[in-house]
Amino acid sequence: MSQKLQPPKIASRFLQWFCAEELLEEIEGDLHEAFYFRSRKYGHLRAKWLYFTDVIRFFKPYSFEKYSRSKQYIPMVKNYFKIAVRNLLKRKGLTALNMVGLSVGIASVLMVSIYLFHELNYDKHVPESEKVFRMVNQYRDQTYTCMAFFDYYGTTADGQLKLIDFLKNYPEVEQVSHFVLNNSPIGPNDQYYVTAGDKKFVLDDFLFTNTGLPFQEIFPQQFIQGSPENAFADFQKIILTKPLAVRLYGGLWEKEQVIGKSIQISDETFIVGGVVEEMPGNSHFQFSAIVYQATIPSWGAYTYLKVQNPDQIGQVVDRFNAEVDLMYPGRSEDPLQKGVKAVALTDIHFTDGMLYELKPTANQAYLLTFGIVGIIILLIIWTNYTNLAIATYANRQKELGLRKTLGARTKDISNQVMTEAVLITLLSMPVSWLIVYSAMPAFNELLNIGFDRTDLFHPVAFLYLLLILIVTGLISGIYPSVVYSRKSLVGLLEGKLNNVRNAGKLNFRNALLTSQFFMLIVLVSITLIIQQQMNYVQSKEMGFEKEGVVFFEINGAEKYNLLEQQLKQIPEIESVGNGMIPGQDMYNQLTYKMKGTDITFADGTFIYASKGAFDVLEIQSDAFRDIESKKTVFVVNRTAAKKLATAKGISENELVGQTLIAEPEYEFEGEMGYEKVIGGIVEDFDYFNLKHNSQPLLIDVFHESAYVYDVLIKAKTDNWVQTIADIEKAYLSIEKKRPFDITFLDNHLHQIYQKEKNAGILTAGLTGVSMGLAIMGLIGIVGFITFSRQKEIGVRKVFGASIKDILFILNKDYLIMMVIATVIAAPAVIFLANKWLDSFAYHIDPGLKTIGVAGLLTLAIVMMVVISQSVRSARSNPADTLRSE
Amino acid sequence: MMQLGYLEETVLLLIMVMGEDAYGFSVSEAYKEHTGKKISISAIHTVLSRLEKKGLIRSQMGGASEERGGRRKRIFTPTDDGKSVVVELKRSRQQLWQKIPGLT
Repeated sequence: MSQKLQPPKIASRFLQWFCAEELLEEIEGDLHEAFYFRSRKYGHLRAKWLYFTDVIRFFKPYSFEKYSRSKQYIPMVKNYFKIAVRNLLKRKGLTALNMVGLSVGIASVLMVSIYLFHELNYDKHVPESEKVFRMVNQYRDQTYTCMAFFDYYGTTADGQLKLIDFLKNYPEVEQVSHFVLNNSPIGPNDQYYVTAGDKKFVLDDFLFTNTGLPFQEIFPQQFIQGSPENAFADFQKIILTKPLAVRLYGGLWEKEQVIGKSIQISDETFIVGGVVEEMPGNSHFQFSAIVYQATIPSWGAYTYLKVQNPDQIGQVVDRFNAEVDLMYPGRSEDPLQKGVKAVALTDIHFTDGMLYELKPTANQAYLLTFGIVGIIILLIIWTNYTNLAIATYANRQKELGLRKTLGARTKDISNQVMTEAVLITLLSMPVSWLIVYSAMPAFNELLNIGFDRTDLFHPVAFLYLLLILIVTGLISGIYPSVVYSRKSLVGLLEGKLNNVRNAGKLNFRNALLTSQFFMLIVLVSITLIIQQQMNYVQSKEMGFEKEGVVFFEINGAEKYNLLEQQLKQIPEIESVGNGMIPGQDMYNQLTYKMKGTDITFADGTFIYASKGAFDVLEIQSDAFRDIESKKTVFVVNRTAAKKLATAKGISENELVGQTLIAEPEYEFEGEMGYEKVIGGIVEDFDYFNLKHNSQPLLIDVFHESAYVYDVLIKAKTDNWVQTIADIEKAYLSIEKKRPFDITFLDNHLHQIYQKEKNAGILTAGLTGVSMGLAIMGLIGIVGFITFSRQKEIGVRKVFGASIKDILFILNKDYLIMMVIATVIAAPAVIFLANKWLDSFAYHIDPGLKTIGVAGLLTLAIVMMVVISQSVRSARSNPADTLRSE
Repeated sequence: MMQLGYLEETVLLLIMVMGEDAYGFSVSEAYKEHTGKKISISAIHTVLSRLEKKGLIRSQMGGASEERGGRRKRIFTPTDDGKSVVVELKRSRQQLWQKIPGLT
């Protein structure tokens, strides 16, 4: 009888998978027999089907390993646990070191995860955030994050609300709101005296809105006291955040009835309408209080739409652009107006290059760098613990052999190895958590992310940590568990270290080592490049003098002129000027062209500054010579001069005396644009922060400025405290209302790069952690390999090898791995570095040299580890190592 | 006295009837024949292991056959305990039978 027909394979495989080993034969046999008879009785199809259902019926605790062997199972786990603990205690020093290493590593991974989580979830806390969009306006070559009011500064309450009312009529639009933050680029940027009861503060982070309830609907605030309906019922209300309420009314404010109290802001009186929770740190705007009043103190506002369905936003934008003239008469005729766009709320943090953004956007290069560093650390941890487990079990082969002799099966051995691996990682959980908890404030400050540390108590945080640790345990256990559980009984009992001797060949462990070297080189290179770039940025010639320069704000030319007279009486003060403080963020650019050419440039930054500012910054030009008689002169910087000269087809020096037309698309008194005669050229200087530099600058220089908002002072003094006191005295004698707030220019410029510097510090720190971890792992593995080659070393020595020869042989393999790792690392590093450096206007070139240096540095460390671990073996007496066989 | 369910009792008796040829599949077939009711092989296996745990039957691996794809059977035989339980069962039932009026 040639009965070839077999039961369905999938079913029998499934059975083999779940069924306990010792039950499998009888069950399979019975099912097979049933299948055999059934297929004769009912036909194959039916028999197959019945086989399936039978297998599924067996899928129950009875067939599972755990239950069928329940008698032995629990004691065995207890035994694994006991043995694991004993092994850990046997080598207390090593265990402690490993625990610390693992905890620090896991903590670093957790921090990086928190950072990424925080950044990637920007504004996601807003309910239905996917339906909220910000309306932005494209004008000339720039995109403005705010919308202008219909009548700009001619502000009436109705004029400000015209756009809001206009958009509300769209059927797709659920709600529209707008606001301005005092501190935002388009806000008044004032400092307000706030008086509440007998307390007086200076505050500057107000949010101004005249669309209260719509704001509440789009960005729901959590009211601790009061309700939105009452708070936004009428104007002249102020809604405090909790921290401000504490500042104004003390820690026990909740016991008082805060609502209805009056607060004086400058000259105006506001009634407290409610107290709300602060916005989370990952919101694209933040404030300490909402000021609800009829008019917003600006020429425009940040405008947000909530639509019924996110897909409809395209329709809304298209319709608005099509009928824009109804809202802004004549705008469709204006070639500079390029229409509005909508930016999804959750994209705001990731949209670069827009003007007047409220908060610095996410630096995607950082997200990428930190993400990669986090993954590298995790990989290093995994490879480390894999290596460590291989080495540990090499010394415990006899134990495993004995277990096998007593009936442990492959499964049991791998279970033991796995249990132990997971146990070790889990032990480091409390320490890693504590590290993260205590490092959080510093981390927060370094990256300025505003993460709430109490979030670490959230169950999700614990689960995540647990997950990382369990996965780490499982991954580091896989390889040793496979290797040792499959080893033959004899092999185990002999304790032979087969397949570890062939170092240098392509095997699993060497691949691990090479990848670890690769990761180290990437990390070290990136750290070096970041440091180099930051040094470069700080030491770069800025084209002006920043030492001994201070600046502060002032309100108006009248006060400035009075102050200047007084300041000139102070002997230490060398020069005084206004209008031009370097280190600016980009602002709106205007168009310009040479008279008589057709090429119009759209990237001009116009500056109005006094000649004094050039004296303070020590920027010279021939054009300034007769400024006293000429009253004013127009100069361009070298970048602009190059562009203009090329357009006109003349040399840069020939530009002097030629006429430039600014904003040629506008009509001024019958002419298109307004003409300016170029009086001279100044060399390039870094007016913006280094991310935006080498822009064309077009500068009106005045002998005496008509509009003044700031004062720049250059002083040469040995006693800055005294000099600043003198300046303050002069200031306070003229300005009675605004407080005196002076800044050193060099500090100011340093601060602009603080974020970059901090990121550099953090990367260096994380690199240090990974270095430490990798070295620890390396010490373990090198010690193990050297130990396993002791006999070989002994034999070599017998045949006359010197210590030097032995060390060379031991090091050679690592050298090859290092070279391979460096070669693979180079493209990865260059890719990452360029991505990061691109965000700087001036940057270093991440040459291969840096990678070479990183490679050598890593190599030096590796060599040190190898030599320190192998020198003892190299020195050992061959008689000791060879006598046992 | 040991508590036995109806299914356990039937299976135990069947094993005794079948002598040296009681294993999962054959018991399930015999059960079907005897009671006329269907039972899945997995249910028989559960009952057999329960009886074994109670010490009423013992098992050993027996011969393989082609119908089984070359796999061995687990042959179940009653233990002394098993036998005495059955005897005891019969005795107690008998007592009850005899007390039923008008049946004999």
